[in-house]
Amino acid sequence: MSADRPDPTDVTAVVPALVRDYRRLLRLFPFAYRRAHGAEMLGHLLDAAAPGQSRPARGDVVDLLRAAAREWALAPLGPTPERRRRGAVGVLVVLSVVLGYPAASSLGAVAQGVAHGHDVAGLGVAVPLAPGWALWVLASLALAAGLFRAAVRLLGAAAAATWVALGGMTVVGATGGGLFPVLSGLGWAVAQSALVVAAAVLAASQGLVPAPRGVAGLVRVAGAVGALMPVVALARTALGLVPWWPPYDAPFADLGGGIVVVGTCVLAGGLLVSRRARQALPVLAGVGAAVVVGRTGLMGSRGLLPMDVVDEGNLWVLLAITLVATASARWVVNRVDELADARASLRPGAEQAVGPGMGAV
Amino acid sequence: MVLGMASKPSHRALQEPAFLVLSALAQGPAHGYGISKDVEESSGGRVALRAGTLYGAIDRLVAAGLVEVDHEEVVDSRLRRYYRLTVEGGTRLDAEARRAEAQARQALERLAARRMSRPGRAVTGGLGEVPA
Repeated sequence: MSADRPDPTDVTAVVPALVRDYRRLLRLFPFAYRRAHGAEMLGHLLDAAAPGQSRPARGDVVDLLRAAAREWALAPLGPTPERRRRGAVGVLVVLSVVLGYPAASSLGAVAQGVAHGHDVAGLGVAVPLAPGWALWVLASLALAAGLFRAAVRLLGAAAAATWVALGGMTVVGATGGGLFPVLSGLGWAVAQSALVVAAAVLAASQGLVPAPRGVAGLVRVAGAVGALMPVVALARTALGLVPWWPPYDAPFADLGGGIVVVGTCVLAGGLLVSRRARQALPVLAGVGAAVVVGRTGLMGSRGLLPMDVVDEGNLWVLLAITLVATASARWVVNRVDELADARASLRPGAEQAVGPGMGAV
Repeated sequence: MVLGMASKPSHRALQEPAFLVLSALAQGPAHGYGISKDVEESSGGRVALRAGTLYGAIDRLVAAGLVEVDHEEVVDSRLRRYYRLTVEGGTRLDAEARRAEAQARQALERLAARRMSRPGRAVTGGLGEVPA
């Protein structure tokens, strides 16, 4: 198979420095993409080079950098467009439902505070993140209506609003209030960003070939369920009923560590076994790590250590943990996919060797 | 079919790069560089699909079942992978081309009718109306 692949060192018709520079640029792509397209892309770039050209054209450099950035952004969802589409559906379904809870908690707390004439500034972390959650609710409603492109724009606005709010909270927290609110909100910002990418992948694939009705319907139902929770929370507040949501910072904080670990392992194992659902596992692992670790006392975020300007590095550590969790899960899923592909390619031969009807003795 | 009720198309309109790639492959199997040259020529130099963009588009078309790998060959120590249209890709391109043709024809007919209804005025290219 690989015997007929060109040896780049044999490329003598062009300036060697050009070959070297293009190969360096291609090394910026994820490994799976390089394995699929690296050789033909190098041939393409060299075919397109002008005689005597010794440096990559500026347009090619920009195009390759942009394509590499796109591939890295999409890599957590899978190495191929088909697997990315499956991953995107899984991420959209799970996160749309899960994020309904913090959205209800944040928006409900703000509404409750306003209804009772409380000082909204005293509501802490719920207030700065509320604009992002309000946009997220609109995005979920767009998903429920099947307006995928509108949902992408709204999710992008929601994620941007949340990241801006976290930036402001970091500045404020560093000067006095502590960084725990930022750490506890970072997971939600990561989750909203993951939703943007997943929705964009689904919207792009819908433009070529629409997903089966069942798949599109599942995403729409998840969007409706996610939006329902904050809508119910706001409706209860408007009616003067007792709020049903726990305090904003409660998720995972009071759960036993063992329950969280066991539950996570069971969920991850279940996703890994499913051929369709496992593509979503790496992104969900990264989001889960960001949400859970940011709320534990691992980095002193529960008040075990004072969070001042010195501990801003903890935010970067949390993002690094998120990336490591995502990359590790992606590596595992890719290996499982390779095993499944190898088994599938061997199956016809094995069935032929056994012969039809041999099992029916 | 109920009169006056237009049948809703089952797909969204293809984006221009995807349309041009499918159009390039309608002539027969072609490799990446051949596709990008054809796209540039057929669009009058307006659309240039460079390598990074082109292979992303091809990947999506392959995943959608509109394009597939035909064969590979090595020329001057460079790998060339040839792609071809699938049956579904040909059908989709046909539908897209007809839709574009119908829209263009309708626009030309409306412009012609406009000229007929205002014989004393001429329509200039996008600059509004000026006295003839």
